[in-house]
Amino acid sequence: MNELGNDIIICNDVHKWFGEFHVLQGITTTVKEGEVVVIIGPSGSGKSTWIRTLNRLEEHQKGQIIVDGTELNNDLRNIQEIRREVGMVFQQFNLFPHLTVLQNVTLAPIHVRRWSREKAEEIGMQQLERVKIPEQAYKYPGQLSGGQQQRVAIARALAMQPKIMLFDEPTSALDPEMIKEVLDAMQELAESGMTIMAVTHEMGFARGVANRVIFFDQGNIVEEKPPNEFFDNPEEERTKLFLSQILH
Amino acid sequence: MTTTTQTKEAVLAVPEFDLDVSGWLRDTVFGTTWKTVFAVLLIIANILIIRSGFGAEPVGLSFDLAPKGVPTAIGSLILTLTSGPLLTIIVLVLWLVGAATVIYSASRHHWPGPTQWLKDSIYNGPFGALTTLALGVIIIFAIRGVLSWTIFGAEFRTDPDSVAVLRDTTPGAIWGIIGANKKLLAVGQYPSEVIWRIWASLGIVLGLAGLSVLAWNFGSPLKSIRKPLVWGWVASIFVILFLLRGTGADTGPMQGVSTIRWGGFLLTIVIAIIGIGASFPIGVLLALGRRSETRGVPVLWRWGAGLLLIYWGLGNWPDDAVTLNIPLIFHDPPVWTVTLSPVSYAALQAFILVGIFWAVGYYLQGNMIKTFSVVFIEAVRGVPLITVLFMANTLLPLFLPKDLDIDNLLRVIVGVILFSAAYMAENVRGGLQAIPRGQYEAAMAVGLSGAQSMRLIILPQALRLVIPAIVGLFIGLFKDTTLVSIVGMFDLLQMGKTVVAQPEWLGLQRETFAFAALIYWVFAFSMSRASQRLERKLGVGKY
Ligand SMILES: Nc1ncnc2c1ncn2[C@@H]1O[C@H](COP(=O)(O)OP(=O)(O)O)[C@@H](O)[C@H]1O
Ligand SMILES: [Mg+2]
Repeated sequence: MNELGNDIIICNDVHKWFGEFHVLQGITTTVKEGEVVVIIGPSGSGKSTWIRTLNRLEEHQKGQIIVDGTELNNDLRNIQEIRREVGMVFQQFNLFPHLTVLQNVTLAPIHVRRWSREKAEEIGMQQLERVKIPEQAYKYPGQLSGGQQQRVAIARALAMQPKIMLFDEPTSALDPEMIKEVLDAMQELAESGMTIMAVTHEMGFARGVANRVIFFDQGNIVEEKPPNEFFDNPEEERTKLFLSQILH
Repeated sequence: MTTTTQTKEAVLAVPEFDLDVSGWLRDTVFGTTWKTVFAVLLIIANILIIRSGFGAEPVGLSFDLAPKGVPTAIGSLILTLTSGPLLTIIVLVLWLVGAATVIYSASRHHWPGPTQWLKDSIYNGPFGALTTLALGVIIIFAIRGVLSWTIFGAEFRTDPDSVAVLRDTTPGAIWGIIGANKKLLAVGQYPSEVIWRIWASLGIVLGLAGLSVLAWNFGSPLKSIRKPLVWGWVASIFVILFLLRGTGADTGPMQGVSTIRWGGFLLTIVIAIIGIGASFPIGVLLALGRRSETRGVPVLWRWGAGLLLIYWGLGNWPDDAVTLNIPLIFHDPPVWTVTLSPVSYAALQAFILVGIFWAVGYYLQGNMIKTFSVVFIEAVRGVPLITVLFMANTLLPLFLPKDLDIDNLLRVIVGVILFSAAYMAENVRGGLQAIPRGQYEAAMAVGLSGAQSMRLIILPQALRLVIPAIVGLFIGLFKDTTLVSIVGMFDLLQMGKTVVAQPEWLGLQRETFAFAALIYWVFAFSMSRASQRLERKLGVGKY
């Protein structure tokens, strides 16, 4: 396990409503630099919503979120600042279909970080090598398999050289034989010391790579523990029930 | 996947020679009632066509094309090939070959060998064969008729005196009307001594076009001039307009040419290009505006402004009672006269203003950008282009200062731009709506600003999706430029009408309008081909 550093994500009593529906009900937790946190929980419990509030794809209405020392509020500059430091990988990849793989990867570095094309391409290629698909650089996303597309999505996020990576069920839309290549890339990333928050139901990944597992239900954290304790010794009834359902 | 396997098996399979003609007839020809009826009708049609072919006299053609009255070699070849008996023999042979092929092919379930091509492309089943033959004969007759009218029987002399003599004996078109009036049709009353300025403009366009083809089609060496070229195109519009319009001078090479004297194809193309070019960006902006979620007016301001309006409405207090005449239908007299006291008039004003404000605030959340876009688009789309042109021509000056004399052409072009921008906006909006949410989210997540996401991610995809619709719109607009004749402009079509009215060319509408139609068709068709090319080029690797 990596040495953990300072608090990099702080959530303090975070609430969110979709109209009448109270989707996040006062989340309080902190994530340290270099920590790998896996979030599990039933569908519809608000995991995606929570993780998306961390880079302001969703707005929270009450409480405090501090990412990398900057508080998320309506100030547009803060949001841009944070998005630069937080990479995100989606369930549906969301690659830009009209751009080549390399253009996908270099777009934000060029237009947001304002790097030269040469520098952006050099770093972009490094990231593509890191996820083991440099040979696909000049293809279009539509020409790649699901697993390859998800690895491009990881490289796209990494090319911004973020401090934090968020994953929202990165393997759920993949065929089984492609899951491993994506998990391998995530594991390599975790070992390199990246701070990671991942919503995933890959229990092997949670056990082997995570520093902490969070069980999330009905808009709040039910239980959070290191993986061994979490899986072998869950305290809450809801956690036990959920684990028995997914582990059979 | 499955189809490939099947085809493979089909190719590898040993052909079966079970000649089950009755079974085949039952299955394919007389499978259903309507198929039977269709087959019988087609057979009758073919027989009739062949019969009429036997009886047909060759259309009387003039051989005046060659001065000595001798037909050209190609002319006589086409005449022979399309003369009644020979045509009939050709059709008969084709028919027999087709029928034989169909029966032969049907006698085997699979059809290996060189005749496969014939069967697939022409004689695809008995209906295919018969339809192909019938259409083939029709096409041959049509081409023959068109060629004999336009070329072989036509008269090309442009000198009115000799044409007057030949007119009654010429079976085809008299193209002299076009040749003699080519300047009018091309540029209208543009002064002859400065026509070089039009040639110069054309030269600029062709030069830019040539450079663009090189820069965009042959790889790297010229890639660097792409950006300057784009600016060159933009600048060329102004250079060309200046060239066409000239300076204020009365004489000399740069003498001013009032737009009243522009006409013919020049006018058509100027209106179309400026209309198309300007309505594209405006349309995109309107589409973005309509989807804008900017809360343009914060609540506080809204109420502040509302109060101001109430104050203004009440303050705009008439001195005497106001009489309003409200038109009514099914009422005699068809007006309803209301007399409002100064108080109630002011209250009514205030009420209407507050109502509008409330509607904007409530339904559109104070989003003025969206309100403006929606109102503009829906207002313009609700009226025909002719109305917009009339309004541009007659109403616009009423709203503008009296001494501001806006050029008639400019007014018409503004009308065309506004009209086309509204439709453009709706097309673009359709494209924007087709872009999945995930694209916006991914763009935001990598840190792009709203404007950057639009420019780099959303618009390129959205516009690509609506290229066919946009080109369709542009083609429609190009053809609709003919409507400007209604507000007194002499575009190509109107100029054609004028030309036909000349005493020495009286009654040659067919030639003139056929020519105008050809010009419109050539341009509309090129646009549609260009759009297909563009789609193919941009479609690389799409999804
Ligand atoms: N944009 C939205 N508007 C309204 N309700 C939403 C929206 N997004 C998600 N929800 C609701 O919020 C709940 C939590 O969703 P989500 O965070 O996607 O759950 P999870 O990722 O845990 O499956 C669900 O009930 C979902 O229907
Ligand atoms: Mg989810």
